[in-house]
Amino acid sequence: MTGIETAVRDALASRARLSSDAKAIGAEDDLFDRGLTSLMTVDVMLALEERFDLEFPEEALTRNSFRSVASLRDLLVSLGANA
Amino acid sequence: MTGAGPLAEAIAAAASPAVAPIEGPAAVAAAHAEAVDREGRFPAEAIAALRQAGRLGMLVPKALGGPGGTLADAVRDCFAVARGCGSAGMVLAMHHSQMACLVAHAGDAAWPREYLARAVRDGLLLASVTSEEGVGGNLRRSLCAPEPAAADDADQRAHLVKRATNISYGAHASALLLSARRAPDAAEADQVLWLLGPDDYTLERTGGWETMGMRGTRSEAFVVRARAGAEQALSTGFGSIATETMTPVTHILWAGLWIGIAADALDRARNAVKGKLRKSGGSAVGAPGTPRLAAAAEKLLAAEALLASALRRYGEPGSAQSREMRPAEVNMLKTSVSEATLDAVGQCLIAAGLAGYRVDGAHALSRHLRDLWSAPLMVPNDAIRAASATLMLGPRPQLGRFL
Repeated sequence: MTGIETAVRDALASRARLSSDAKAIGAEDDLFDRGLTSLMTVDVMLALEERFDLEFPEEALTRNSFRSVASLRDLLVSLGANA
Repeated sequence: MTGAGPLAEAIAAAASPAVAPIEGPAAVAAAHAEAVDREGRFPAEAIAALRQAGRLGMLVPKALGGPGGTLADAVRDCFAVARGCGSAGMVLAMHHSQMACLVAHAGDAAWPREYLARAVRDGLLLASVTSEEGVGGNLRRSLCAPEPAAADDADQRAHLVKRATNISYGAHASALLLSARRAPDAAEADQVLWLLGPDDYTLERTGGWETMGMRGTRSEAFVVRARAGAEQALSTGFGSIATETMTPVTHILWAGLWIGIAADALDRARNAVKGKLRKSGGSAVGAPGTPRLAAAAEKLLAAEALLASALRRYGEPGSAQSREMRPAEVNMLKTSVSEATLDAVGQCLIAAGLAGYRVDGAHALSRHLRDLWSAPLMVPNDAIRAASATLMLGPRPQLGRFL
């Protein structure tokens, strides 16, 4: 597991109230089926922006970006995040 | 195409609906509206007329034997029916929103596809069972879960028991779409939708529906007891269905029916003002009541414009575009149109005066006001606005898109 993925799981664990443990969830599991809501995505975004000192561009703020641990990790990598 | 933007296309599309108008069922709804309201009974005549005219299957694709109507077609029907009877319009809107969930999320699964084909053939009415005792009105929590059949049971389908606080037209529906946890050991937010056909469930009525308005929706409390095979659970999780389809489609259809109720109120108020003026022989210039009519029309035209733009942003249920509609914009459609239509009917009442205040006669507005008071309450606007506020720090509102 990369440092970025760990940070994603940390953000989900602290800022989203999921129905399963964010540390144990499958990287490809659908987070919306595990209780993630649009409201929670805002706090997850804020936490990750602060953690990696970057800003999610407007076009990245879609449901697909937040759909899984893997999609968030890939987004952060594409934004040049450094764990 | 030069000079024809999305707005021009929208106007052209609205001028030539692909589906024939709905005058017959709308007239039936209007004819029985007063009795439905007074007796607090299901709008059976209107729904029978809609069934007869094949309107209940509006959203079912042609490949499954339906007319392949668009969401805009369904909105137009809800508007027209609600213009005659708010309760009938609400029943139609809730049915269509459930059908939209099936159409968008059935995928290639045989069971829901067969149901949709049958729903078109037989005009089946589909009700929603998302409410439940003990979840605090939160759509995204369920206690109900499937329990496996006993090993020696000849019927090996799972048992589902759900104590629903409200099932609109539950006693009159042919089928149910019921939310439940994925499995007995699943978390409350890990939900799936079960499609229960006419022979799969029984209802035990546990509470009534004595309300100020929307009296014909008969949104009573029931215990649902069902047997269902694994193939009857939709494969898409309810979290995605709720956000991508059920909530936006419901709010779009509701907006259409609320504007329909208010449109009839405006007609009545105009008639009342005009009738008084003709009797008095006065001029329309500066006539009493007319500024209130204009204020009502202004609100309704703005509400309709908001609905038209929401329809264009959302597209069709299940489309890639629909999945990316901003939740804040769905919320704002709901809070804005629910209050604009209610305000507009208030203006109509002031314009019509006593003729509107009477509960009898051609200008009565009591039913319209009482029906529309459900709009800001069903899914409370205060709660929706609180969510919209949080979402302001997420994706920015898409302004300038239609300019």
